[in-house]
Amino acid sequence: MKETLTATLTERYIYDVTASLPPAQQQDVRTELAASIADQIEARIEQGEDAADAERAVLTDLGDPLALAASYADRPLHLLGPRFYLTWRRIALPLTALLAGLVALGVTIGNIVDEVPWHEIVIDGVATTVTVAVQVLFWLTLAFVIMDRTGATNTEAWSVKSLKPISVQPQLRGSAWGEIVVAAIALGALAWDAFIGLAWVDGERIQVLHPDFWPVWGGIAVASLVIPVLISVHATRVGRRTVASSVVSTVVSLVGLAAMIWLLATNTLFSAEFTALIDGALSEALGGFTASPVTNALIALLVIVTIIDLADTWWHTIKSERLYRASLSAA
Amino acid sequence: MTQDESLDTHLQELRRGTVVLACLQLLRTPGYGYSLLEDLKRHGFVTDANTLYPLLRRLEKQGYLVSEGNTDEARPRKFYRTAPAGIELAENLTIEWSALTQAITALTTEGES
Repeated sequence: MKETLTATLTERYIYDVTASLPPAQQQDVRTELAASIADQIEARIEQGEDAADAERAVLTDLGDPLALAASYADRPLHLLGPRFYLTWRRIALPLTALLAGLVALGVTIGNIVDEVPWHEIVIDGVATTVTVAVQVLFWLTLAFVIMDRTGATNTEAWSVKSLKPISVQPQLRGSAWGEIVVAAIALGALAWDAFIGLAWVDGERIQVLHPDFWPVWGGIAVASLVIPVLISVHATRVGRRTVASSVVSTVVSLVGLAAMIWLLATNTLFSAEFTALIDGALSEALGGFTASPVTNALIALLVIVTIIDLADTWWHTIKSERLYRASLSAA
Repeated sequence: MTQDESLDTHLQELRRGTVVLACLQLLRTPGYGYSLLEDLKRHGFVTDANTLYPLLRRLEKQGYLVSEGNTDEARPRKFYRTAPAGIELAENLTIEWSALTQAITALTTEGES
């Protein structure tokens, strides 16, 4: 190797190709490649090409030196090959989701016990999920890449036994009935509270909800109970969840969540009498306990439940949309 | 992907294995990288230098080619020659090739009649 400053393009190219090869192969490849490149350049010059242009053209044709080196050394030009990719997808993705979810759940429970403010609980939960997911995914993928490159055999390869029974959302009908029952009970409770009062103190009925709950917040509550039921019924009729219906239910649950957070954060969800009742009961039970950690935990819980619910909704929507498309193209 | 691009891909896939067979046949008389590249081109097997050189090494590693350095000339070159195992492989590939040719021909004549 000459000094870098005076090295020709060819010398630099050959250096780049051979640098990453096993030492035993280097000298051999260097000699052969030098001769081949020189031959090709010579042939071009004989055709009347300028020497510098010929060198440039030959090296350009040979392409990225690292790709050529990989080809010499029989190294793949991808991170994870087809032998392990599907197994990676079957194992790594569900495992990542499971571990991230479990750790985030643990952290969230810990935070609730520690009376951390609700927005910090949410931020902490999301951050934990992302961190754990990235870590698990990184190390698992690294393990797969190492197995792939060291030529390990894939024992988890597919066989007929791995076929699963087809389920085109048979649970939809049952869950639609469940939603109808839950919504009916909740609507009944809302009406009962508005006209009679759900709780009673000293033989006197009091309203649980704040007097300003009706009509605006109450309307939102009724809508966010009724609309999901309509969507479920629609899904049962159509036989699948459509993207449009899932967009509607996403909007409804986000509006509902925002309304609940606002009401809880401003202490306007429950009536003064009911808040006093709860506070009294809590401080009697725990001593000097105030409702605000309970409120925070409630908000964090709502946020988490909504996120899980939305993830579930979209998971099923995408799945049934795919099945629907597949059945269309098969027909 | 346009029709032209997919045509190129299909042609490439069809030609892929033929370069190996062509190399094994041509190297019954010893040759070096560039000379082989030109020979292939002359016989209608247009091959890129960056596929040919690693391919020769792979075939050598698998025992189908043998090589020797030639330092007599001004430019030290590596000469490859088809090994006995390579000649056997070439014969097997040729048999497969003619079987395929017959099969394809049968398809075409069936289609016409």
